[in-house]
Amino acid sequence: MFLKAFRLFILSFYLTTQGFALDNVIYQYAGDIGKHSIGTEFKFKSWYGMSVHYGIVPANEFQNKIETYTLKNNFYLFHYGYKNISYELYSGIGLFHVPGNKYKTHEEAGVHNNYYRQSSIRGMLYIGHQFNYKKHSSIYLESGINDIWIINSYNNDSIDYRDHVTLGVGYKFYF
Amino acid sequence: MIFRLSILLLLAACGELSFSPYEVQVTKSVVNEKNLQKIFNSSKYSQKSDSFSIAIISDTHDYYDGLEKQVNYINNNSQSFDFVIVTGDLSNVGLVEEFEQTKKRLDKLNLPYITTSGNHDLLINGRQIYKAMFGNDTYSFEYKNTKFILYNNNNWESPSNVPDFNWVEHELASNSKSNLILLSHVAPNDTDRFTGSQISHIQELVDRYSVHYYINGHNHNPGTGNFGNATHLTVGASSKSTVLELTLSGSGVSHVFKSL
Repeated sequence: MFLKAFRLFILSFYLTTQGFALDNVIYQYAGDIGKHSIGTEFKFKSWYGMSVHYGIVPANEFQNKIETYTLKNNFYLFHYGYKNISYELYSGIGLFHVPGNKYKTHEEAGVHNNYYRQSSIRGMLYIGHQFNYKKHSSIYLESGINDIWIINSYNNDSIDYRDHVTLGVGYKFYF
Repeated sequence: MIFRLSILLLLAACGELSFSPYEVQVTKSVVNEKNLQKIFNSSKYSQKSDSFSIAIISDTHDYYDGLEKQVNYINNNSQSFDFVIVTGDLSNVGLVEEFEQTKKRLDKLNLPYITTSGNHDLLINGRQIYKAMFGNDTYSFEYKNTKFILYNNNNWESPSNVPDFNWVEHELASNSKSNLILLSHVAPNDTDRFTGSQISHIQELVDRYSVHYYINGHNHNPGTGNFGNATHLTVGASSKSTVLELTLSGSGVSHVFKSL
């Protein structure tokens, strides 16, 4: 846990040294990247930001704790402001990685590497609404779908992608 | 403007709060155990006729349209069959949502179905999900004139005691029925997965105990051959639009691959 947080800190520090200030922290609940995740976003342009997240799903009787590293590319498509409140519509593409031997399905079959396809890295598409208050906090609501169900709904008429859309909610705090 | 924003908000607000595609939240339903009871409680079981037919499908993976086609065919001909066997690979990478999509379609069958596990079902947390959802993957039962033995032989994805040939031999030795059918997911003569001595051992058991049919999935193309003195059938995947029909009577066993 501490090692993962440290890695996230190092990445954030690197980006900070490149001129991108670490000026916010994000908490996200759900949305396929963990029950609870923390992260930060680096805004490169007014219309583009990249966020990194570390999330966990607690262990239960069937599984161990699931950790998730996520990289999200957020494209801000629309902005509307009124007094201290503003609204942004954004969309994005994300990649997330779940560490752990059991998720490396390409290595599952022992010496028969690459018998299975890679499974520990997944992609996702999402659309979100962000509501900003002044310049110090935002909340967002995000709907996404991962690559498994994008492909399955493309290959099967009987799979409706809308049944596999997941929802995440988040809070950003700006320093 | 406000109307449009509301529509977009509604669009973005759909969906469930999912924590991870790998998360395991599953209701224990142990389908195999429950459906075996249904098979023996069925009026077909109490019929005096010694002859009966079953449908066998396999490797449903993410071929959901193909599976629906198979389910529709079996339902339209449900008077012809007593029950259905699925010889593994009900998922692609052992995710709950994959199993649920497959189970949702199998549950539409008008007949009871039983399963054994495939190699893909045992990936990631699949073993736990399969066990909770379907129950044991290694079991046997006697139905009318036939003994069916289903066993897990997914050796790469299982503990080192798989396949358990001692258990298989015990089940074969205790047979008292006229027909003996052995089913697994992987072909018994898969030279990638099994050593020469393992293949010889299971073949020797098949011959010693006069197994009539050895039936497996794994290879997606339906196929017919011989394994020792037994007829060897590969069921084929749901994407291949076929259903294997097996007819068992006091005078023997026959099969046909039905193209849909």
